[in-house]
Parts: sequence; C-alpha cells; structure tokens
Amino acid sequence: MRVLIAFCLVAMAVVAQDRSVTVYVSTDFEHAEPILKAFEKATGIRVAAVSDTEDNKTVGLVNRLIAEAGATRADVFWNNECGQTIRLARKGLLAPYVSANAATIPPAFKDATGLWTGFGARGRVIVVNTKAAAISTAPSRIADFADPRWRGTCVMSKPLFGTTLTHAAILGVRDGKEGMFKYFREVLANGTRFEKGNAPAMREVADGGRPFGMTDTDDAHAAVLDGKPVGVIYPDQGPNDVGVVLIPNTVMMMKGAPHVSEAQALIDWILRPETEAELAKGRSAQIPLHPGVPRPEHVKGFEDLKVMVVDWESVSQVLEGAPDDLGKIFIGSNPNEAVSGATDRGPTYILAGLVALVIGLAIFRMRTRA
Amino acid sequence: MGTSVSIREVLIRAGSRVLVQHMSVEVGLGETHAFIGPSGAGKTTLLRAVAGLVRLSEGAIALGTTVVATADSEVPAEERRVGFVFQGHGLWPHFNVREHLAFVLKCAGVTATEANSRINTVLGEVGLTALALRKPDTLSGGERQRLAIARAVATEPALLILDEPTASLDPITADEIRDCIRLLTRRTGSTVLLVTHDQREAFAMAKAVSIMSAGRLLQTGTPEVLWNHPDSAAVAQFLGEATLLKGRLLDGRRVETCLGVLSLSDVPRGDDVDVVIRPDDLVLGDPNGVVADVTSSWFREGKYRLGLKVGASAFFANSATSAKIGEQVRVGVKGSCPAVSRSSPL
Amino acid sequence: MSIRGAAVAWGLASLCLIVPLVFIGVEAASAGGVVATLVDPELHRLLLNTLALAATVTVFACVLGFPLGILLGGYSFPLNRAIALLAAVPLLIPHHVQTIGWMRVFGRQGWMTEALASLGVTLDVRAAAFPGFWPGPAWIMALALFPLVALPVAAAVTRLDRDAIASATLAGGSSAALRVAVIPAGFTALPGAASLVFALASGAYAVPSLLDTPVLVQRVFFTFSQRSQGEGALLVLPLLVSAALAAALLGDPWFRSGAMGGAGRTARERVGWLGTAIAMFPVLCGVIVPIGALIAKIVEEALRNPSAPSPFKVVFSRTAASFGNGLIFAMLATVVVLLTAWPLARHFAARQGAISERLLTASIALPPLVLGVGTILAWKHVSNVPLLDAIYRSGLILLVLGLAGRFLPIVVRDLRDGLLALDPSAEEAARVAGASGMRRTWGVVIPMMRSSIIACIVIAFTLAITELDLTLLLYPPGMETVQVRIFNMVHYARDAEVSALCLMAVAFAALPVSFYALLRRRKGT
Repeated sequence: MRVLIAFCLVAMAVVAQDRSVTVYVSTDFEHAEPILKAFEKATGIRVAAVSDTEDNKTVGLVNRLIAEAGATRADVFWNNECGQTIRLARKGLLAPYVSANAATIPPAFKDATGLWTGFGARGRVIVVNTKAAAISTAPSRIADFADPRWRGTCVMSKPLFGTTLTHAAILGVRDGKEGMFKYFREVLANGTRFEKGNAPAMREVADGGRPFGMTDTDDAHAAVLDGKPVGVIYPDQGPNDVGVVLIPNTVMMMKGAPHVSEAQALIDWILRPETEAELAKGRSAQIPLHPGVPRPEHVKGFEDLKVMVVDWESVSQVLEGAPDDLGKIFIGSNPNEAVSGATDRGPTYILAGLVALVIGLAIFRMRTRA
Repeated sequence: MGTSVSIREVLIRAGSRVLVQHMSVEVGLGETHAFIGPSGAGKTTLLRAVAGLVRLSEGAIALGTTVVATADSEVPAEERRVGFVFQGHGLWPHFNVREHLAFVLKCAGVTATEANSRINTVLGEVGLTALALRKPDTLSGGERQRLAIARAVATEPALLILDEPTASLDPITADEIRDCIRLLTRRTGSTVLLVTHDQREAFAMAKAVSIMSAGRLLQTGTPEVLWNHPDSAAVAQFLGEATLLKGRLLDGRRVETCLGVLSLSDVPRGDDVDVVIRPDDLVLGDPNGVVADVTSSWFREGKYRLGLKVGASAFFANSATSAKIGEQVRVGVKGSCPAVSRSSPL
Repeated sequence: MSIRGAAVAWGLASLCLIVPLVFIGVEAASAGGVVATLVDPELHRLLLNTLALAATVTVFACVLGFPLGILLGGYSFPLNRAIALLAAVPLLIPHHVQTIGWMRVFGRQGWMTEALASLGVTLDVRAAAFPGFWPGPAWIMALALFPLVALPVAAAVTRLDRDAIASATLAGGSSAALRVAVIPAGFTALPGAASLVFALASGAYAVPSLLDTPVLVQRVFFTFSQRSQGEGALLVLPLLVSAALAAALLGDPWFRSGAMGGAGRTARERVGWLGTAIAMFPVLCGVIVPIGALIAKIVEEALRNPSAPSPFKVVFSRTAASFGNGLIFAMLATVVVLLTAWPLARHFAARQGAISERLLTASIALPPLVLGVGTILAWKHVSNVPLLDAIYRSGLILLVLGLAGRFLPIVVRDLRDGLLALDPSAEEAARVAGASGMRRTWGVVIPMMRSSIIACIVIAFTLAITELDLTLLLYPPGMETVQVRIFNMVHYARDAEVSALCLMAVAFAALPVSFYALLRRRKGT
C-alpha cells in the first residue's frame, strides 16, 4: 500500500511540473507526435498528450472534455475536424486566443473571435476503383450520388460522426435542413451503401466492393500509398458548382486551461506553416491553408481548388438538431436494408410481454425454491 | 483448567425455522457432558452457539461466571477460549501438522519456546509425532481426526467441544480416539461438550447426557438415570433396542402386559403405561413365562439375539443358545422394568 | 461478515462504481424529457434487438463453451493442457481484432464469402438471417466471450466428487456418468456464466459498431456524442434493467448437482482425440482465426514490399512506452479491484442471492463510456480540494478506479464462488482458536483461496491491460496504452503495423496467463 501511495505521489508530482501543457489530440497521433516532440525540444515545455481519433467509436475526447467542463484538465484541443469543435464552442468550453501565426489563414477557416483556428485541411472527395471503372465514368459532383445513373454503384460513410456529419451540416446550410434530409434519402433510395466510417467506405472501393465512393483525402491517399487501384476526384469543380468541401484541423484553447501561456505557445507552434508542411508530407496528405507552404505533388493546393465557402456559424446551428434527425434515419436500422421510421407500438408490446414473462418466471422460481 | 457451562432457555432461529427451542442445561467444572439425539435434533447448532459461531435468538449462555451470549450481545468466538473439533475436521490444507498447532498457539499468545514444547507434548499424546511435517491431504481419516483434536486442545482451552469425533471411523480407531480424548482432557482439565448420535459413546465418555429431538431437550441426567428412568418413550427408544409394551397399571408398581404382570422400577403417572423391555431383561425358558414364537435368530457379541413375537408385540431377547425360526419358547421378565406414561411427551 | 467489513466493502465499491453511477444518474435525470425518451417505440425496437442479439450470443457462447468446459474439467485427452491454456486467450483479443479477423473469412471480400459466391450463394456477415437474429455478429461476440462459460463450467466439473462419476459409470457406463454426474455438475455453473455473457453482450459496442448491427448501445454512443451525455446515460437504463433481470433469473443454479464434494484423486477418464477435436473447435475459431488473420496481413505486406523494415521493429520503437503504461495501469487496477472485491465477495458469500449482488452483476452491462464520464463528473466535484485536485488532474487514480469499477463484478463473482467452495469449518476452527479477523483472513482464508485469488489476479490484469473504451476517457495525459495506440493506428489503415502491434499486445497480455499456467503445472495442481 505504501508503495502504491508513493507511486501516486510521484506520478502527481511529475504531472504537477510547472512548465507543462496538456493537449488532447484527435488527429492521427503518428503525425501529431513528432510535431509535439519538436515543440518540447524547442521550448522546454513538457507536453502531455491524450490521443484519440475523430472517427472514434467512443467519441472519447469530446466526451472527456464535456465531462470535464468547469474543471478542465486539457489546455489545448487539437481536433482533426470542425463539427465537434463547434459543439464545444456552443457549450462555452473554449477560450479565445488569436495566434499571430493564424494571420494568413483564410477567415473562412477560423473563428472570428479566436475561439478556434483551422489549419491543414482534408477534402471531401470522390474515389474511384480504377480497375472497376474509368475515372471519366465516375460521378463528379456530390449530388450525383442521388442520380439514378450511378444507382447501386456508390458507397459512403453514415453522416453521424466526424467529417461526414460536418459535410451533411454544410449541405444543410446550403440547401436547408429539409433539402439535406431529402438528399440523403435519395442517396439511400439510389442503392448507395452506407458504411460506419470513411475508412471502411474507402476500403470498400479499394477492394472492389463498389466502384465509386465518397471519403476524405487522407483515407484516399492512404489507399493509394498501399498500392490500391484508386483514383481521386475533387468534386463540384465546374463553373456552376459550389466547390469542394474542405474540413480543416482545428486547434483551440480550453476555458479554464491550467497552463494558459504554455497553451498559447503550443497553439502558436501548431499554427506555424511548418506544421502544415509536415501534415502535407505525411500519410494523411493534408491540404495547407497558409499560402505558399511547400507540399508534395499529390497534395492539391488550396489555391488550385474551387473551395466551397462555409459559414461555420450556420453550420453550428444546423448541427444543433440535424444529427438527431439523421440518427433516426441511420441508427437503429441498417439503412442498406431499409429506411427506419418505425413509430408503431409493436416493439413496446413485445417488450412489455417479455418483461412480464421474466418477472413471472422469477416469481415462479422464488416460490418453488421457498 | 475447565469452566462450568450454563445454557439458559436458549432459542435459536434460522429465518422462520426454530432450530433449538428453550434449552436449559448446566454442566459442571471439568465435566464431560454429551448431547445425543437423531440427526436434525439441533445438537450441533446448540454447541456452535456455545462456541460463538451461531447467534442466539433468546436466552443466554454463560461460561463460568461470564455471560458470553445473549440475544443482544455476545463475546466473540475468538475470545471465548473454546476448543472445537468439527465433524468435517476443518483442517487447513496449506499447513502441515506442526503448523496447525503453531498457528493456534500463536493466536493464543503463547511464546515460541513454550509453543514448541507444547506442540511436542500434544503430538506425542495424539501419536502424530512422526507425521509432524505432513499436510492434511496425506493423512488417513483417523490421523486427520487426531490432528483436529490436537489442534483443539493445544491451547488447553477451558471448554472443549467435540462434534461427532468418531463418526465415520472404524471401531478400533474410534476407540483409540476416545482414549486419546480422555487422556488429553484429563491432563488439561477442560470441560467437554460432546455431540454424538451414538448412545454407547455418550455413555462411555460422559458424566451426564442430554437427549435432544427436533430442537428440544427431552431429558438430562447421568447414564444410569437415563437408562433406568427414561422420561418418555422417545428417550427409552433412543437409548437402544427397547421395546415398548402396552400395559395397564394394576397398582403403584405392577402392570399387566402381554408378558404377564410385571413389576416396575418407577411409579408412573396415569393408568396407561408403556413398559420398557430390553433384550437383557428377558429370560428364555422361564417356566412361568408366556409362549413366544421365534421370528429371527443371529449371533452377536458372544450371544444369540432372538427375535420374538407374542401376540401382536415383537421384541428381542439375548440367549446363550440358538433357536430355530418358527420354534416356540417360553419367555419371562427378570427384575423390575422402567415404564413411561403413554401421555409423556415425545 | 461484520457490519464494519460490509461498510468497508461498500465504501470501496462506491468509490469506483456507485458514486460515478450516481453522478451520471443525476446527469440523466436532469436531461429532461425522461418519460418521452423511455416510451419512444424506436428505443423499444433497439432494446428488443439488443436483447435478441445478447440472447443469441449467450446461446452461442454456451454451445461453444459448455462442451469445452465439460471436457477440460472432467476428462483427459491429448493436448488438454495446451487447449486449457488457449481457452483463455480469446479474452485477451480485443473485440475489434476478433472482428477484423473474421471479416477476412466472412466479410464482403472474405475468402469464404468469395468461395460461396462462386457457388452462387450470397453471404453477408452483417445481415439478419431473420428479424432479431444476426448470426454473424453473434458468432464473433460469442467467440470472444465463450471462455467465460468454459472456465467456470470446467471449475464446477473439477469440483465434482469423483466417486459420483465412478458410481454412475458402474451403473450405466461412461455415457451414464456424463449424463447424471458430469453434465449436471457443469450445469450448476452455466446460469451464472450465461448471465455474465448476456450482460457483457448487451453493453458491447465494438462488434455491433463494426458490423452495423442496430442495437441500443449504438444509439447510446450517438446520443452521447451528438446530443448530450445526460440523454445518452438515460438510454442506458433499459440495458441495466434487462441485465439485472437476467442476473435475477440466472443468478443461482437452475440445475443442482447433488454430488458436489472435494476433488477426488481418481484418474480422469480418457476420451482420446475425439475430445481434442471437440475442445479444439472453439479454440480454433476464437484464437487461430483472428491471430491467423493478423499474421496473414503481416506476411502479405512483407511479400508486397520485401524491402520494408519489419513492422514489429517499427511499431515497437514507437510504442515501447505504451506497453509500460498499460502494465502500470493494469497492475494498479488489479490491486484495487482485488482489495475492493475481497470484502464484497466475503459479504456476498455470507448473504447469497442478495439483490445488491444481482445489481452488481448487471453493472457489467454498463457501457464503459457511461462509467468513464461518471467517474470524471464525480471527481470534478472535488477538484478544488487540495490533494484531491492533484488526483483529478493527474488522472492516474481515476483510470485505476474506473478499471476497478468496470471489472469489479467479474472478480467479485469469481472470488465469491471460491469462498463458497471452501470448507466453512476451516475458518471457524481458526476463529474459536482465538484468531482475529485479520489473522484468519491472512493465515487461513487467503492461503486456502490461493488458486482462486491468482485466477482473479490473472483475469483482472488481463481485462485491464486489454481495455480500451474506458482507458480512452480516463488515461492520464502523456501515458497512453498499447490499446489506445492500436485504436489510433487502425483508423489510418496501417494494417501491417496494426497487426504487428496487435500480436505484440496479445502476447504481452498473455504473459500472466502463461505464468499462471506454468505455476499450476509446477505445483501440479
């Protein structure tokens, strides 16, 4: 027991070191780790990281941050998307900080009050199995997924989490909530397969399950690196189209952060153009938002693309209720089989019958035992 | 040194079941007192309560002048200085013979030197010296029983409780165990409470015996008193091989039965009595006796045991000679017999 | 057990389980719309699906685990020691790894699916065979959980009096012994094991999530992440109720064997290679398929890119520290869970069938997300108290307590069963000899419980070191575990590296199990 207490005290003492910063990271930690280590080396500030992925089955970090509201243990949150960031901002869990390094990042990718700042974006792209279909035959617009011409040939992630949800909310801003629901219903009706995440959707295309799919640039690039026959199309690039949706990483300071100056230093570090260059070079092939950042050939430049202009404040409003409605479509029934909409009381009656049966059996057992 | 034991109006419940009802027994300092009765009589429960392993619902138990248990308060078992030999032994598989004794002596606060000497003495007395380093699973049934006894007496407790100490042992080993117990308790002077279902064992070891049935005390007394003056038919029958003959009281000490007019050792209450007839009370070939049919015959412990039938009544007699089944013999009764009132409680 | 002992037991249980649940309960109650949420027919439909899936998993796990337990406990056959060791390994394989392995067989591009497709048979591992029956997800979950049936059944059969088997054999041969002695003895452990599997299957998330099975826990996670934690927690209530009802119904043996006694010394009957074949089947499915899939991935990658460095080397250089972290958490959690479980098990052994015991069993159905958030909420409230603040901010104790709370019901049950199998007069003998409570515990009960305690240590350590969901919520900053690392890497499809790390993690978690098996073998127990 004494050893246990001593260990805990030592652990606490280590954690309580003065020059440290706690960062929650939901981007690919394999990429984040070298950046954080370089920060430690350059500044002498110890970084304690908690990592998780945005695709997460547990939505661990955001739930952790919400649970810690009022007594946050995190100083900085580095999120690899925007939807949950907006959710945290709505809940008042973020503290404003405008980093000097964010000055050249386009205003469309940062909060005006400095609650969060975007960098290194991923695009929502169409992927093609080049063995199964020519790129010229693939859909070139997001709307094409609802077009009968591509009936039963497409796959995408359920719009319940991560970038796909954010994408859905962006569509909601553009077309209205009803328009967005109509789109997903039509896509469903068009025989599109819905996977639980972008990576499985990518895998489905890469392995030839479906010739066309919608996913994020990082998943598409990983498939290409793995030698899969995958082609990438940046959708909605035509003269009358709205442009591709880019979803940036976001970095923010938590309200009540225990180490404010260290948190600011880390945010400054993360928002340097060098960080974006690292992320562009990596397996996730993220698109730099600072102008003029060096990037590999396979990574498109922000300037080369027609990018959809997103009003993040409106996106936040759509996100207020849309997920629940989308949940009604996509959770509780396998949308690949049928669209849910059960409102009848059948299950309730069956359940009540079951409960009565179990209670009856339990009473019968108690009596027979007595 | 022993202690007196006073069990006063003890009632023990388990849920809604009454296991022991209103038992009162007094046991003198250094005495051996046996509790006998059929299975489920509540004997073990009562003695577990004396040891502090079962709570009382009513009544009180005192060891010496100290009240150790009432319904509201009790001295914990570990503070009562009681030795207990459990029916299933309750040995500790991870300790060897010597360690069993060392553990209990340590618990009793005995110094290491003193403990060593006591262990040697007790192991010698129970005949386990050569097996001191063996673990229980390598011992025979008799050796395990000796170990259980040695463990119980090692601390020289004021009170030793033995729960069926010879059950499931062969007769020779059982006799050895009884001798062992006598030897040890004579040295320590402990008071002994013995639970058994064997009347012979109880009579052989105890100064006084309590007979229990269905949680109730039927009778307490010395073996002689119980044998010669049973309070009830149940007591008479439990003490062994007794046949109850229906009789009608003629006067104070004479009763009319199917075996003729018999004289009684007690003056019973009421006119309708049952006379207690035991095999040794019957005389075969008595010219004044009644005619009986032989229904069975077998050899036992140097005598022949004959099953006899007179009218509807059947009983056993001991005989020096054998008889054929179906043969008729004359049978009489020698001396006076105990009798119980037919209305006496079970 | 004394009142003081019970108080200590419940105090410790409160710290790691009950208080977090109270806090999450308050959060749920304050969510608003409680009645509307609970009477929603959509919720009922999901709950029915959950019950159906959990029931199927339970049946499958019993079908896989019961014969294995009977064989391991009652018979001797070639390779039985190796199979006994392997039987516990599925518990070490994270459910998502189990799923990934089976997807290589029955997934859309799985070799079995493609083989069947060439014969014109369409197979979709995710689809329901008929409403309420999902054989694919149920099969995979059952393969991860069947050791929870096999091990207690084996233990129950081992405790069977060998004379009971001998007398049945004399009466009617081996089949009679199996019918009237061995199987009834195994049945005594079955309901308790089934209730545990049912509870775990009700709250399991990884497999339904990966295979898109429409169960309530999916809705719970969605609501947690997109709506509110209170509302999400509210949805857990029906899960807990159903698990509690299952525990109430199955908590005690339905079938009693009258012939329980000490283990005899008679040699076990030999059943030859047939026994090996039967026992091997679940082990093959639960261990060889997922491990084989991982190895296949590494080999495939090595063939594709022969010049690439060994994925084992690559990942180990990056994740060595995370092995150490996991080890520290698991060891501390094991200590805490044992300290907490011991008095509780003593309490339950003295008061069998208590409602509180049923509720504790039901709590295993609690999704770790709920317990984790509850733990944070509880400790947050003392975050301004000196020292407690340090505990809250360091996070180490929170994770240790969370893990302890998560696995407490399993360890309590195992310890309680061990205590019930003891001869009560052994402790009573120590008591009347004057041994105090502490001396009785250390001198008599714990040594007699040694094998049960070691088994519990192995179980608690193994479960803690392979835990992911709760760890993600509670692990101290900068101290991630291997499971967290694997989870992060899975997202970016570094298949070979993930496979290598998974294999290393399984081997690492298997160390204590192997050590235990070695110890047993040396002691000849």
